[in-house]
Amino acid sequence: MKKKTKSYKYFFRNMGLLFPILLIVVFLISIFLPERSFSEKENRVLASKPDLTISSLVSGQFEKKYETYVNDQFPMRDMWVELKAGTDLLMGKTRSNGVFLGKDGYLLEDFTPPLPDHIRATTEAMTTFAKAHSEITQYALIAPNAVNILKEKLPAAAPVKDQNIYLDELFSTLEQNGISCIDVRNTLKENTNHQLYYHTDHHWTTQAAYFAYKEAASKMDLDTGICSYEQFPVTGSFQGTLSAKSGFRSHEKEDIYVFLPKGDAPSHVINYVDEQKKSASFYASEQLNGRDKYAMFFNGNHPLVKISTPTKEDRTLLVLKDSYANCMVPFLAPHYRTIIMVDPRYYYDDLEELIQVENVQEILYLYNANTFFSDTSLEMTLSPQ
Amino acid sequence: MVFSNIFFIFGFLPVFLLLYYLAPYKLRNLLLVGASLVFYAWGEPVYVILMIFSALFHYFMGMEMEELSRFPKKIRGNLIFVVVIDLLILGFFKYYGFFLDSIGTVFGISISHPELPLPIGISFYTFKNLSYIFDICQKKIHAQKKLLPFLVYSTMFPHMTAGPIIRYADIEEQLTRRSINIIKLGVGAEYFIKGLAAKVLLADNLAGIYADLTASGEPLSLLGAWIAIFAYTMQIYFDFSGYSNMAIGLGKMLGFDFKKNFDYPYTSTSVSEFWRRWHISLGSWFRDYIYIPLGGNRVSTLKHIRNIFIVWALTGLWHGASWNFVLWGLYYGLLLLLEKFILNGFLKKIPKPLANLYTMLAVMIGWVFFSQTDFSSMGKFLMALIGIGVSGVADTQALFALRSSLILFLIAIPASRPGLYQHYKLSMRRSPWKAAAVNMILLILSVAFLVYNSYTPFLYLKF
Repeated sequence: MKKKTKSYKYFFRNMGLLFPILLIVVFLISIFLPERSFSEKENRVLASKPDLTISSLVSGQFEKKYETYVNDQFPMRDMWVELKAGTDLLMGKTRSNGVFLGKDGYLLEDFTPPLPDHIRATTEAMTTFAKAHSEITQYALIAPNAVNILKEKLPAAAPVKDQNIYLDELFSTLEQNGISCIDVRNTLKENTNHQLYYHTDHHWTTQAAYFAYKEAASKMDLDTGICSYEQFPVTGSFQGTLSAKSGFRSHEKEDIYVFLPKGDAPSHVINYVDEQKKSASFYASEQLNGRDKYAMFFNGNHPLVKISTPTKEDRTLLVLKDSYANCMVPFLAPHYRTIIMVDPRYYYDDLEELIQVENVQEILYLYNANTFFSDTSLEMTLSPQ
Repeated sequence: MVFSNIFFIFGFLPVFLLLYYLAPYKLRNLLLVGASLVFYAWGEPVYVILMIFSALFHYFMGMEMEELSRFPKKIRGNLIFVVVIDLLILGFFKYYGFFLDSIGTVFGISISHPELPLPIGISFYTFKNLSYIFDICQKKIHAQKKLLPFLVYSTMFPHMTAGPIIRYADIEEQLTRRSINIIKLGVGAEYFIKGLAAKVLLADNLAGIYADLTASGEPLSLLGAWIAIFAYTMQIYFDFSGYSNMAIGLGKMLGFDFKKNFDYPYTSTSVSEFWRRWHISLGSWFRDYIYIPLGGNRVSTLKHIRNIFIVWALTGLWHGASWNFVLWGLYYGLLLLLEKFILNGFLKKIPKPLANLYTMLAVMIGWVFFSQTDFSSMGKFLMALIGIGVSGVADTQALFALRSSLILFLIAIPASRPGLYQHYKLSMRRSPWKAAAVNMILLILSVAFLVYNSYTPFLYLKF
């Protein structure tokens, strides 16, 4: 039976009730709701009520800030954000904020090709530095990113630039200038049956770092037989930066594993020079309680870290690095009496002097490709002024 | 302030509506003018003075001209005075930089000038105020003697910033006598939500697809170019018509009836029909105050052609201070002449879907002129649409864009045509509660997208 049609009046009366009620109820809630200062979900301080001054009002700054404040403090903000992200998924959106929602739950960060001038400056700084220090053996390990190794996990037709073109060119330039390159792409490709990258984070896993270490050992003449490893999960609730950045899979939690030496292991002293702190472990388990759980490796990023290990041979290695190094350097530690880790993004001292004082014999550039190709600090550290 | 904003919807609007509905009848106009000034001044506290000046200026000039109605010569002088002042204001705030740059280009010099921010809605309120004066001159209306009702007409916030360009004659009575009730509030809410959803859920997302494809500046593929311009075509419709619908809805809530401003323009079967359905209040403004005074089509063919080009060059320029808008206007002038003198009979003979396809192609190419302010990228885009200088027939960029936008397109296309809405109107009568629930869901989704605008996760020292 067909439903009877009524006058439009009923519908508009309903709207005339629902609409103002919703507006007023939300308005009242937002007035009486206590201010929230921090968003766990977004990991940032939310805007608070701006101060009203004549000049900020006239310039329009107050109004702008006030609108941000209302948005930030909107009742059940996280619920709205999730509703939007869910709608996006239903609409078939698979890219958000430069992050792809890939297959098997992988979030993959897009690769932005380097600007030509920019990458030229960095490689020139490296090659000039290599020539000036021909007595120091130099290696470069530029790790590929998930978007490269796990290409087949990308959503169909994802328009990503091929990272390999840039890596190939970089490696050939560096090799020609006496920097030997440790290309870990093949070993990682062969081992994609292991979890090489986190699902929700831009970092590689300790497992991937271990494969890379094996590859590096053959180039750097390290005896991998001196130590064997067992892996242990240290947390099951890691939520990476990519899920926060994209809004995809924001409830996904995953494991972080560390590789610990079997049997008797050499003891290390890790000296965080600027922070004037020492530790006997590479791992800072207190970071596992925070949001940035990857910071458990070396307690995050530091300008200068010195690792001392009582080895027979007296070799000193300088690692110029980003955070990909943090889970790989522990594998290198048993092979060197001293490893100095410098993160050029935070290091402002004289690198030449450091090399002299510490009597560095080997240098390893240890980066992931995405950071390496967008970074400008390495060039500044290598050729100051 | 803009309508598609959390602060407006859940701060300004509930407080204002509550006061407006509770206030005694006589206080409503005062309240509306006060709220409108706050609305305008919010974020633009300096330019509100300009807006008030424009309102007062036209109010006094209107009364002056009403008194002079028996002296046509004096009226003429006054009219010229008003037009000159309005053009000077508009010229200074909107076209100053454009004018100097153009002179500079002609003489091969560069003239430096300060970049003034454009006062919000200046083109809309200037045109609205001018139409009031013109109508007095043509004796279509009598000047408003009371200041408050005139300020309601001139400054009222629903159509202050982005139209429609309301004519005084259309709302004259409502300025002093209008009723509000729950049904009208509901009608207004439905309009407002329809407009908000079109703007936030459709236009803004379509804009993202266009931006994703064009942002890199790299050559597009053939498919990519068409997806981009189709997304833009849909975006600009839902953006403009969405804003108009929000304005109409807010007007209804306050007891005003504004005429519709967009009437499914993308169903048109000719470009001339398109312009009768697109931004109706603007088209009729140019028709009534420029085209017809110039003689319209009741002059020699040559003058008629001249009139068309003048009107369309100005229509283009009204949309923005840049030559590409002029070109866009002239393009339509040319198309309209073509239709008038050559294509007219042909378009009536061919099947309607075919005529609609022709119109849409013409309109989409028009949007290329509209969207590309610089001429070399405009040329590249036009070439890309016919497959010259493209990266290929299709590339991953285009396929990914198609994949990500397909559902959006499948919603946008029926939403730009009457069928879907007619179906919805039927459900309003069959199941008033269900239909209202659908409307509230649209509102809730729109709010989610607005809240998300400030979603900026802080990524602890990335890498």
